[in-house]
Amino acid sequence: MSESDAPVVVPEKKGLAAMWETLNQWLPWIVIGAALAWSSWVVGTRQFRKITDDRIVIRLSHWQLEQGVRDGINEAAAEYQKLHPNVRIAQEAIPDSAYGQWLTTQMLGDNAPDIVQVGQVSENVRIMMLLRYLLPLTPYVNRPNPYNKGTELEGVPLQETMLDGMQMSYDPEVQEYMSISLARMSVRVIYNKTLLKQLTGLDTPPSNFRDFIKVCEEIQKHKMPNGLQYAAICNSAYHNNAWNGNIAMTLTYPMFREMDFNRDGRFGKEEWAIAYLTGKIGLKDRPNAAAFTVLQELRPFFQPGWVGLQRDEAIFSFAQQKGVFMSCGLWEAGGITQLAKGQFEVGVMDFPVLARNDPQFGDLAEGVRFEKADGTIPFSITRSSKHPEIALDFLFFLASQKQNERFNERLHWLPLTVGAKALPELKPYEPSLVGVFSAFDPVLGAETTVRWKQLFDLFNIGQITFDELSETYAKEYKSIGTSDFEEFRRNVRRPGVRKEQMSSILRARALLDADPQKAATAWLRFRQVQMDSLGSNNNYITYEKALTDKGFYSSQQIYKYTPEALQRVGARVTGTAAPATTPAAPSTTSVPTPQPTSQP
Amino acid sequence: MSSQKIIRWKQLPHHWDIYLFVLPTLLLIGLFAYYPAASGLYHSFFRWNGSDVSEYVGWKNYYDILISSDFWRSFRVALILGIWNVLKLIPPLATAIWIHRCSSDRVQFMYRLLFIIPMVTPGLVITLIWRNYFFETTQGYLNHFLFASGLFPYMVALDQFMGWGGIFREGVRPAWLGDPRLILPAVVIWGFPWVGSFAVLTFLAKLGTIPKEIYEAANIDGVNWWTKFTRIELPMITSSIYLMLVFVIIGTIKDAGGILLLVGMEGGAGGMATVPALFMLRKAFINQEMGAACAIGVVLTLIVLALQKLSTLLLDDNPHSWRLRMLMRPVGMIIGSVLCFLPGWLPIGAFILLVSFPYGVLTDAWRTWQAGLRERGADGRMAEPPPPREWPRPLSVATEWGLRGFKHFGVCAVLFLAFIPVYLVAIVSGKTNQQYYRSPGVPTTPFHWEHWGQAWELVSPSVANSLFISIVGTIFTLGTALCAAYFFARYKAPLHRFFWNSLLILLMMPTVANLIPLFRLISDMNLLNTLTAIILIGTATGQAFAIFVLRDFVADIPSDLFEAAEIDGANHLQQMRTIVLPLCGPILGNVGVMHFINEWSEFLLPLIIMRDADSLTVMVQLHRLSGEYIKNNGPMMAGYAIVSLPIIILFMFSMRLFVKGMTEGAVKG
Repeated sequence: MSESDAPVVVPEKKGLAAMWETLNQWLPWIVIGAALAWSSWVVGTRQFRKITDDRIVIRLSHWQLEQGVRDGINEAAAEYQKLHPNVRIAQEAIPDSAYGQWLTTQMLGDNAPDIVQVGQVSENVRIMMLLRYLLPLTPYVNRPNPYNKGTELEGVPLQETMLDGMQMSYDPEVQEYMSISLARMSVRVIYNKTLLKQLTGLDTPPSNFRDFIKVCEEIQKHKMPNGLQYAAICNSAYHNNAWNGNIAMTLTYPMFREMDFNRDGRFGKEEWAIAYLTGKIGLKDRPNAAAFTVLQELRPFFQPGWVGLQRDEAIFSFAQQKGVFMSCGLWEAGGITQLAKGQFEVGVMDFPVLARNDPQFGDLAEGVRFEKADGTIPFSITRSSKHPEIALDFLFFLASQKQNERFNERLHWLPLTVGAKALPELKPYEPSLVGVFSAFDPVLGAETTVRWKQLFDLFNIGQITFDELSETYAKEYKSIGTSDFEEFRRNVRRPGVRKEQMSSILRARALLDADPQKAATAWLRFRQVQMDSLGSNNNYITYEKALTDKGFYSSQQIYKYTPEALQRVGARVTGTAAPATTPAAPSTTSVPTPQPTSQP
Repeated sequence: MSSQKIIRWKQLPHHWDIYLFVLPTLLLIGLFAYYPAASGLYHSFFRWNGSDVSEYVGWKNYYDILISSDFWRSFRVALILGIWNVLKLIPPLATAIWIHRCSSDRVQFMYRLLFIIPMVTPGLVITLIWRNYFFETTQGYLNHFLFASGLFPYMVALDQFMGWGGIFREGVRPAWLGDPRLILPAVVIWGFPWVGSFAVLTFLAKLGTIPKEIYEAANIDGVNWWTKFTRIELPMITSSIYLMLVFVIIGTIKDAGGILLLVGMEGGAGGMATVPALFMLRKAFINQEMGAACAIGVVLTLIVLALQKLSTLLLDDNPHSWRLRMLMRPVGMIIGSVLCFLPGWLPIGAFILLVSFPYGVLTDAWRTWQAGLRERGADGRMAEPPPPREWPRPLSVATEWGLRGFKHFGVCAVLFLAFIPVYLVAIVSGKTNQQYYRSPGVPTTPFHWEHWGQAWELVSPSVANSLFISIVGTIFTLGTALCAAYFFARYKAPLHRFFWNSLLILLMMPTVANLIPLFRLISDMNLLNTLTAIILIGTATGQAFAIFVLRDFVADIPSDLFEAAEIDGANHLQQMRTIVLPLCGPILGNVGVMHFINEWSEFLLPLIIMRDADSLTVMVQLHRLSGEYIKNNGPMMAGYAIVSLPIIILFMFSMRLFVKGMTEGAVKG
């Protein structure tokens, strides 16, 4: 330091100069003091409001940040609060990119909201959440919904008031009803009618894959006013799943028959894992190769750089008329339609799947993607909720006929409650109940999810070929797939102790309850729990056997439903007249639908 | 330095009250630093989900980490980013030298003042601006610039020449955050021109200690600008450079907040930007493998401790360090050479080789050879080296003016680039989305002032929360740290060394490594979702640095003052109030400002602890806002401006204080 130590005589300042100097000296403290005072006031009044607000606060969290959803939930909450002035519904809308981590943290800290939308986490973590942190709703599904009073659903058990019979709410991993769904969803392709006509002269969009490719080729011959090429398909990493699942992955359906070792008619991740680990199937099997070939054929028509695009960037591109087609879930359709208002007309079409007579893969194309009529946007109640009964009551409110109709009208979604009317313009989004599903699910837990995503991203940008993808993944799957599978098996086993305890309690009730009705109910439930336990133990043993006994799979025959059986199922599902019956092929399911005859 | 009063064990009954001054610090660091560290170490031997699943697995977690290619990949990423972060010190260094060389004090002051705004704008705000506005593929400024400036075709040609595999393709806007091949370059580029830290001020403060007479003497001797840099300025700031290098490399290894904000928990497309701390967070909060995450935290801590110890050994000025430096050179060259041949490790190997190369040996050999070439005279003495060539005066004058002009041009260019985010915030905050899409880079009319009102409604609760946390936390930190500094500076009491070493270790322990057990502790204390938790933890983590800095200042107070006060019957509190507090004003302000800024910019901890929307801090709130599907750009940018204002205002008041503190050796280098 070079400052002189000699004292400097400073002449005394007077008047304004002195005032200014004093102010200058004290100004920082005044500012800090004011900031502290204001912030303390805000924080203090907020805390005071919380303490003095004797209303019960029910917190609800979700990741649906689409336009209109938060407002819709707020409006529904306001109506509920009119009926229950002592309750306040507080909504927490968290971006989907952060939701999984946020939810995990809140549950670990016993700090989770009362009502949560469960998702954005890996399968293992989801199961753990269901087992540990969420309240089973099985005891309540047969209660009538009090908010259906005065309607044709008055006195009807909740389960029967939902179009899907609450199938989506039943989780086979934990064998309980874990949530209440409020809407139905589906995914379609939306298209810019104006631009399609302008670039291709077409009034209607193509209906099959090959014609769709031709139309895309035609579109991409044209350039925008800024000199850049039009994109046939506005796509993003988020929207790509829909193109994969609805066009390409339906070709893998035939493989399901080889993998369904427990003959439950369902395809599970663990079945894929076992089949893959035992060499029963391979990534390069023809149906898989076909699916990836179709993906490669679609890829040139996605907008350039789509892998790196966020969801909103694809929506923006579509709204800016930089592309013609875009996959669109019903949950975002309303927002996009609003964006396009006044600029162009938006049409809706089905995904253009391969036709049965396709020369290359027609034999694999067994139909469109099956869309369950299940509810989505499921909301569960956390065990840490201090007022689970009120949380449940709010969900009942939203699930009532009148409210469900109103709620979904606001959100531009399809209602789930029987008798609730959907908006006419949403008819194209009605789920397709006849179809096939994907039998391709190479991820089971945390490690496989991360690694598959990394490799799939590289495939999507064309940096690796399908052969390189499958070879690399095959090499790594032996270690990471096995460790994920072990974790999965542990999670399957975990409810075992709890079920044993429940069994004992139910058996005791069945034997000792003085009320014969209650005893009968307990007896039914005891048998149900026993069956579930046996089923789950059986699966556990079968997993073990499949991995250790080389001959296990070879002893299993591939099964197929007879055409007559398929017709009967189709008729039942679509509610059309059933054809003349012949003895049905066995079509078992290991998912019994619990039907307790009375409330616990 | 005043001498410390020695208190022996048998004198304790008469002097027990002195321990009250260090007790709050010990409690805070014991509970919020050492307990989580111990808990993390304990749980690292368990398969623990953070809740009720806890199964002893021995060394399995460590073994899994060591064989995990993802973990080593994350280290490679950290080292690559660390090397780039080192190179990113060049612009602030050059800027500091250019400003320092300005002969006019007024110009210097003006430059310093102008640099405040980009320097103190919170780093996370800059990250968000880059993420949402520069790196966006379709509408981002970076792609706009590449296309509008005509640079893009050259990048396409370069891509083809270098065989990059089509990262830059004709007509395709690069997806900076979406293409796995571009993620790392994006993480390197963000923040350009990288003057957003305190590096400029730190270097300026150090350069300010060079006496002007040295420059005058150099000018008289006709020393050119390069020699001035290499012989005068560089030696002066070498220690600061080394210190910044150490901080930068260690910071890159233990940092996760910035990367998390930029690319998300997955580490971006293909997980290519996953650094070790992010890997740990993912294990903990996505995969719920808390035990494994704790093991990673322990490994991170050991690596950071080792690096810091090594840097201390290397930087010390004693024979042992000299010998160690000599030994490290060949070791570094061997390691660098080996790494060059490992796939993906070439940049790191090359860097280590460059740093380890014995340049001194080469220059000595050159000089010896040069001397050997000079002839010896008849008297056996070597001829003098030829005098430096004298240029014609007009040419030297022109060169000098040219250099002066270049200096100002350089500073102005850096200032211009540094102000771009500030400019964008200002103009975009008044645009509707339509205006933004049509003209993203130029001001448009009408300017929508109501966006500021909307932004204020959105962010004011979080601004209040952050202000409360930062101010209260700073007051607590300064209060407790000053008391502890008084204890350490004035007295050598029993266990004094043990307490001091505990603090020193804390300085080196990366906080992020203990995040998981800390979360568990906060949860057990029922402090989740409270501002109290953030304040307490911030106070605890701020103790080490604050005490470290304050202790030296308290020790510099002449002991006569204390003795006189004792004679007059003043107790410890009175001595603190009448002697320590007034004399430590400047340094308290300095430490207070730095702590305030740290608390304001805190992101990770509030992200995992806070739940309610009205309890969020500013950085978490901004992070949530940027997750909207259809962004409202005007209010969002206005929100960025609003959250940066408190820091800018604070710094404008305290800049003089800050620089004084640095110049007086607050940041010891």
